[in-house]
Amino acid sequence: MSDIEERIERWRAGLAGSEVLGNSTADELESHLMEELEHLKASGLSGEEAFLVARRRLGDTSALEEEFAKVDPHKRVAHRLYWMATGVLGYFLILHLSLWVTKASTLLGYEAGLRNPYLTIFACFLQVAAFAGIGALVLRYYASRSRSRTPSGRASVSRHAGLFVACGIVALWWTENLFFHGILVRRMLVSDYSQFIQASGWASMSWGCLMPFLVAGLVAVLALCKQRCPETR
Amino acid sequence: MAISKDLVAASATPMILSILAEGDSYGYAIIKRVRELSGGKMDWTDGMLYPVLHRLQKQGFITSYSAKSETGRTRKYYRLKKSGTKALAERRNQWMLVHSALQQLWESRTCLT
Repeated sequence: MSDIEERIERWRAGLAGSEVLGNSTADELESHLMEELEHLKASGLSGEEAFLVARRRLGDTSALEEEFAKVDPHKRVAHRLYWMATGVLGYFLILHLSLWVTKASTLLGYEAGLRNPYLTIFACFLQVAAFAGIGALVLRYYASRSRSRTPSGRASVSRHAGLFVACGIVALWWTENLFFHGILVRRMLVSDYSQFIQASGWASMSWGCLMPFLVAGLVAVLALCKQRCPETR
Repeated sequence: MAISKDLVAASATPMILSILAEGDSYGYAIIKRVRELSGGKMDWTDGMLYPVLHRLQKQGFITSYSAKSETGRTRKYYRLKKSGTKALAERRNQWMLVHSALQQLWESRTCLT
């Protein structure tokens, strides 16, 4: 991809990611920019110059956002409410995921014949490993998504994020209650139940201690991404 | 002589509706037509045309569809609807009224001087 193509792609991503513009408007504005680029290049401007002039003629992204927000004032509020709700659901998803991994790792260790203190160490280790793995997958996904050339793919995931999170919570909630409480815990001897409580308690705590660092890391990565893409505004 | 921002904004709707009354068109072509008609004196910020088009579509005056250009690029074309033709006639009357009022004032002033 040439430098100009990359800059156009970044500019377009900024428009598509806006809370009031969206993909179809970004497509329309990109089509306009491309026509203007061709016209300017035909009149003798270099690719770089043509891009700068065409972008300037289209106007500042934030000014465009303001004008589009006036067309549909409720869209921005709805968009913000949607992401706030998704954020709250996301917190519950992480919480249930943590409980799920805690119980699964403790029961796995118990079934494998481990008893305290090894059971606790094993549960804590699996808990941290599982979340480090999930964190790495999320970061890899975002890195590949920001490199993706297909705008429709990028937007469809963002649009359905709330739905994915909600379905995830329901799935974890049901499996956690049915699977662990309903079936597996019955296999445990009553005398060993305190071991389960102890091990899963420590595993939960290890995750709780790790959580602030993971959140701080995620915020730092997002801030870095934003800083590296000045073209999007 | 550049035309003031307020006048550009006020004339945007009748201008777009009138251009679409000539036939279906898309953003870039509409901008070009405006420049051509005004001899380059009505210089819109290109991007500002689109919120107006979207507003007119929301109001039900125009409709849109996608079609490929000769170069294979997808363009969003706009078409004037019946209600848009009606709105254009109303706007036209309003502008003609303003125009004739101003003309009368300026003509009488010319006579005095």
